[in-house]
Amino acid sequence: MAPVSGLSPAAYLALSDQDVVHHAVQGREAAYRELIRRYQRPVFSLVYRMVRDRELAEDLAQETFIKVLNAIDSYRPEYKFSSWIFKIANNAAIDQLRRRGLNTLSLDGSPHAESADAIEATTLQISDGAENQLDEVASRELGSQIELAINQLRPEYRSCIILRHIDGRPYEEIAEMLDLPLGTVKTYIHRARNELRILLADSRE
Amino acid sequence: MNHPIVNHLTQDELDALLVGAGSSRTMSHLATCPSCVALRELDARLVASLRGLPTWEPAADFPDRVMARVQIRPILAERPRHFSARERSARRRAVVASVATGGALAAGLAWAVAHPAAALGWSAPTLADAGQSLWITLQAIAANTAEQPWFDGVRDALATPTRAFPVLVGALGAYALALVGLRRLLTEPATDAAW
Repeated sequence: MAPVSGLSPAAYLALSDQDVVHHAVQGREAAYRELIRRYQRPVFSLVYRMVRDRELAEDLAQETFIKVLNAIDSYRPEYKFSSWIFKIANNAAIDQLRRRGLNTLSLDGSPHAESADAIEATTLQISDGAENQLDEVASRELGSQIELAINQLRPEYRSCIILRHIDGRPYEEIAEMLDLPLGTVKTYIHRARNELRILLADSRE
Repeated sequence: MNHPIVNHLTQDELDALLVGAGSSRTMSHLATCPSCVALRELDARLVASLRGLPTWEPAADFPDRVMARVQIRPILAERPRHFSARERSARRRAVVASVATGGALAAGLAWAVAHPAAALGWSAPTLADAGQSLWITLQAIAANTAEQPWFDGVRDALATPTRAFPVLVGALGAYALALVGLRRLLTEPATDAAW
């Protein structure tokens, strides 16, 4: 079935997620693309931080979008669209971790990078605002240590800490995404922060 | 030697500090507790470092790869609806019947408001007749039921509260089971990606 024309792609920028979903349900391809544009980065980042394999993360993110967009008419507008898509992405990542027991972290760029530029682009970094080279090195090293430490957390703690302190999601939304009681989410985040402090202190000794 | 009991900041209070929302108790405690101050600083540094971590981006052709496997649904809601001649005729008849019924009700109501004494004079005997008919019907149903061969058994089963209780419980249980069964029958099938 051919998609119908509707708003121009630029017009979707001003719409809320709910409105874009409404247009997608009506069969507008531009609305589907707008949802992908809005969420490809955060969804991919979440999955990549969970599985630490770029190719696998792309596959899981792709499956997440396909699952969500093919079931777009079952979306319930009383919930946030972001909660729905992150929930499915997180479940996909955790399932993958459980299936494969994957728990490795490359600090020196993606193993799939085929050129020096690609290695540079996929090397873990923390900040673009370093004032000088030493700061940049120190900053990159800290970023790498944090990524390594996150990777040592239990998957449930990892999801919570990423969603809370990297993506900046409120506790209530995380609880909704992960199907956990609010108190459990808070506990996981506190424990994750404690473990990260200990892991980072150990790595500096 | 007795040590004073120190109530250190809770995790919720430390959380509140991370977003700059400390209560007066929190602030006064921080003024006197070096260990909570140290914990707050460690938390703040950790959270700042986490916030500084980069976001990652999938390959440039990611949207196209997704769209290649997405099935865009047909637009049922926005299609102009074409009614057949039979449907149009049925709609016309329904509209005429609705207007006629509504008009008759409105006219009757208006007449009753304009002539309240006459309306009451007609309606009171009619209501009394209806009540009488209903009572006779109920009596007939009761008499017929009492004539049924199973009636004595049922009456014996409900004769005392001790006998009636298990029957009542059983009936309520059957009713609950029927409700659960009906609910399951009417529930929409879940999809993999649904909530």
